[in-house]
Parts: sequence; structure tokens; C-alpha cells
Amino acid sequence: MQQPQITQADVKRFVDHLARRDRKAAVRQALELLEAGVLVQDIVQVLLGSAQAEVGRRWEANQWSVADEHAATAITDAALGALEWRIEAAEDQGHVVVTCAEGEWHSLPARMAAEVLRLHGWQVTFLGASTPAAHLRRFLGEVDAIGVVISCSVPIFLSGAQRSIQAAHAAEIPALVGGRGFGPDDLRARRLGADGWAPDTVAAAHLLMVWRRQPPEAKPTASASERESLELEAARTELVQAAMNDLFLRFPPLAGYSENQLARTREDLGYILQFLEAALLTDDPRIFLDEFLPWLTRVLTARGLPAGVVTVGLEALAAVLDGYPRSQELIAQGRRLAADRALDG
Amino acid sequence: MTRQDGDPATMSIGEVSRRTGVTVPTLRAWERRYGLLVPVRTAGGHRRYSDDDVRRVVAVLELTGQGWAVAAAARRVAGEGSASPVRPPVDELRDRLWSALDQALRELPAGTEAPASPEEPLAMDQDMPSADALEAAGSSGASVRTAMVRQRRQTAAAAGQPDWQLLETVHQATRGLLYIASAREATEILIAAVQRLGGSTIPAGQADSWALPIDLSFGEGEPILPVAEPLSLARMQLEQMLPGLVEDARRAVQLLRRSEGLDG
Repeated sequence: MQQPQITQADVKRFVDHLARRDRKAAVRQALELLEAGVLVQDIVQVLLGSAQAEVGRRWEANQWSVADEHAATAITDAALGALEWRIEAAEDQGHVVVTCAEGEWHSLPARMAAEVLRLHGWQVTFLGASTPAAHLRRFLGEVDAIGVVISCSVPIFLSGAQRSIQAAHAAEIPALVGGRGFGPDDLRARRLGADGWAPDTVAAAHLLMVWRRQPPEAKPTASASERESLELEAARTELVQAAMNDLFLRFPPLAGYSENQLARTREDLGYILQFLEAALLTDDPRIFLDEFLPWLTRVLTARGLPAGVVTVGLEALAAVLDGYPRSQELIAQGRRLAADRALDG
Repeated sequence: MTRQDGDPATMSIGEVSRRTGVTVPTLRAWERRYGLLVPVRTAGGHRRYSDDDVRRVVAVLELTGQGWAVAAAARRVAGEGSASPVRPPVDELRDRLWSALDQALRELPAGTEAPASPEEPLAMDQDMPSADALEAAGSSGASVRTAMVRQRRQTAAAAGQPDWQLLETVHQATRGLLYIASAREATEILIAAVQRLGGSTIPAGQADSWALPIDLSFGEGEPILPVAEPLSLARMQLEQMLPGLVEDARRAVQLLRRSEGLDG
């Protein structure tokens, strides 16, 4: 028999429930699909996953506020919670711990992964958002697990993910990492010393099966070249202030900004530095060039700022980043890319 | 611990698992970590286990059933080579709590013993790193900054050692969650806990960079976020204690919705 699938129309209907903040309708729809024979895995990954991607897109396009985004996420979370009771786990594969990287507060992707793993027969302990590495270490000292699954959605929390990985290793439990923050391949995972990387939860379940038969070899902690990254983190506040001062000269409209707008500008400069730190920590320039800068440009232009404003911000930072050669190089590349994109239209 | 003669080791780990009900990976972990199982190797290199191994696993299960932590129970059983604990677990638990408290108080940075004024920031930005940290890092300006980050992280980790007041706040909140009759009550409990930890809350619509991106509303009413000044003691306390607490609250709300058939 043909397995019923999630359609575009299903996703659109679910997003409409989110837009109206109608929790009961959203939960009902998820349960109806389950009754109709759709696989729980598909409901979680396709329906809820696509809906959350749309939530992010609407925020990015300035159609939804931060409050709308949180309200929608809470409703998706409630739908996931309702499914949880209906999940009948298969045979017992063993125990696995799922957690968000230290500093990563986006817990829904990790929770979705936890449910899909449960579905695959794993006994899952879900620790929630942003577990401090020291807590993780203490917790893992008291349990036995085939592995720890560490979720990171935003690259600026990769340094936290590194500490979570180290906590797992201190407890002699292998670390499997995943989530958008780790990017499209295993490069960042390897640089941070993880024992495995999975592009999605089904792949994670398979890798855990392998580990169950044959735990991964303990390897020496990777020594990612993190020095400049750490130095940037230490100096971030002062660098942002210096770049703001520079920006007043470079970008005259700033003088007319409200207190709130100035605070936002400071925040954006801080984000640029944080993404730079992540790119340096993992030695993966894609974080900064391919993921962050285009995203920031989209977010700012959607809020009525001229596209050139990102380039101006980069110039201001370049002016104050004396003694940070790798950051300078990345910023120069970013400016070249921005100029090319501007030419492309 | 050495193997005694007269106790033939004939079982596979699967057999031990069947007889004790403990899964194979867990048994392997207990063997590796605590030396709880002492197999002999066959000529072919396979591990074989004896009745003694089974007895030790059962002893650990009995202790955990009385409230012992697995690690403590396994170490005790492995260390003694016999299954009779001499001290009741309550004493053991009290000891562990006291030594944890001791440790926490020793590691708390100066100024944090008085949680009566939780708004007071730690002012770590102004603190210079210790002489040791500087020496370890060399003397260039860049290394000093790196050392400061490391030290800030260590201080943050130390501040995260739970003290009694923090534990009491969390305990009170968790206990409250057992009695909620609506999601709104869970939200109120969390808001009160955030305040006791030195923070406050704000509607998500007014959130700024001081807000922690974790919604306390569970999809009922306006989203509410906790706020605390970056690098303040309150912020650290929230970062340490809140994730677990919100997770418990979410669980409580889910149970409630399920029991009332509100989830569909």
C-alpha cells in the first residue's frame, strides 16, 4: 500500500495555524495525519520541520516579529509533545543522551531529533536547551550511554559545542553532532573533535547503531587553530565600540539614529565578530562568507536598510581589527563577494 | 580484585545480560569504567563471565533500587568484591551533598556568597586574570586577552556550582510544577524562579540583547522571555539553572495537556 505523504498543502495549513496562533488546530492536524497513516518521522521532519523553516523565513523577511516566531515555535513544540505520547518505540537499542550545545537555546530541533531517535528504538534522555558543559559532564558521569547527540543550530555556538564535546569525552562517551550550525558536511565536526557528524536524524540513528556494535576509537582532541578566535572573543566589546566610533565618521546617517537603532547596530557588529570567531575556530570560511553575510544582508534589507550597509560595517571593523590577520583576510573576502553580488544585481 | 578459583567463567556477556536484565552496552560500560565485571579470555580472545560477575551486577541493581547513584554503587561493589554495603544509602547521600556543598562554597568567586543581592554584577570585565593564568599564557597582549577569556569561563563554571539557595529555588519550582492546573501556572512558576535567580521577564515583542531566547509561555498567551544583564551573576545563574527547569516545566505542561485530553 502507498504510504501517505505530507504535501505542500499540509505544510501551508499548519503554517496558517501557527499564523493564527491556534495551538489546538495545529495539534489536531498533526494527530489527524498520524491517524491517516503518515509516518511519525515524516510528520516531525517534513511537516514540523518545513513549518519551522517557513517561520524562520518569515522572520528574516520582516513579516513576523520575534514574538510571532516564539509563539509559532511553542505551538510546533506542543504538536511534537502530542505526538510523543503516540510514539511506540521499537526494540530497545540502548540509551542515548540528546542535548543542545552550551549556549544554544534553540531546543526544538534537538527535541525533534530526540523524538525520531525514540522512534528508532533508542531510550532517549533529553537535557534541553543550552546545557552548561560542566552540568553535562556531571550528568554523563552518572549514566551509561552509547553516545551523546549534541545539537547546534547557529554557528556562533560552535565554541560552546566544542566544550560540550569535551565534556562528553571527559566522561568517555562518544559525541555525535548535528544541526544547521555544523553546516553541510563533517568539516566543522572534525575540527571540533566530534566522533561523528550526521546530516539528519535518520543518519544519526544509523551511526548510533554502528557505535552500539563498535564504539568509535577515542581520538586525541583536535587542536583547531583557535587562538585568534579566542582573542577576538576576549576583545569583542572593545572592538565593537571602536568600530562604532569609526562608523560615525564613515556612515553619516548614523548621527541621526535613535538610541534603539544604535543599540541594534552595535548588536549587528557584535554578530559579525561572533560569526568571524566561529569561522576561525573551525577554520571554515563558509560560515562567514556563504552563510552569515548573505543572511545578514537579507535581514537588513528586509528592514529597509540599503544593501551597502553591510559593506560599510565590514569596512569599519576592518579599520579596527589591527593585529587580527586572519579576520582581516576574511573580511576582505567578504567585501569582494558583496561587491560582486551588488554587480550581479 | 582478583578472580577466585572454583568459579568457572563460562558465560558470554549476552548470558550475563539475560540473567540480570541489564543491556550489553551498559554491562560493557560498567566493566570498562568501574571494573565491575572481571572476565577471563578464552584462547580465541572471547571474554567469559562467571556467577560472581552476575552477583556483582545484581548487587549494583539492589543498591540503585535503594536510591544509590550507579557510579557510587558500582564502585562500592567492585571495590569490596562483595555485595553487602555497610552504610545505609541515606548517610552516603548526605555525605555527597555535604561534600558537593563544600566544594561549591570553595569554588564560588568572591562576592557571590551573598545571594541576597543577586542584581550585583560580578564585574569580571574589570578583573585582571590571576598571575598564574598570565604566566601560563605568556606575556603578549593577545595572550593576556586569551587568558582572560579562559579565566572568565572558569569563573563562570565555578559560579555555576549550585549553592543551597539555587538548589532551593529550583526545588521549590519543580515541586510547584507537580501541582499545576494550567500552562499559565507553569509560566508563573518559571517567572517567579527567574526573579529569585536575580533576573526578570519581558514580553518577546520587546526583547533586546539582554533577553535569553527561551519562551516561558508554552504556546498560551504572549511569549515571555527571561532577561538579565550579560555577565551579571543573575545571568550566570539563569544560564546554569533555567534550561533544566524549563524542560521540566514543559514536561509538566505536556502531562497536564495529555491528562485533560487537551492535546487532541
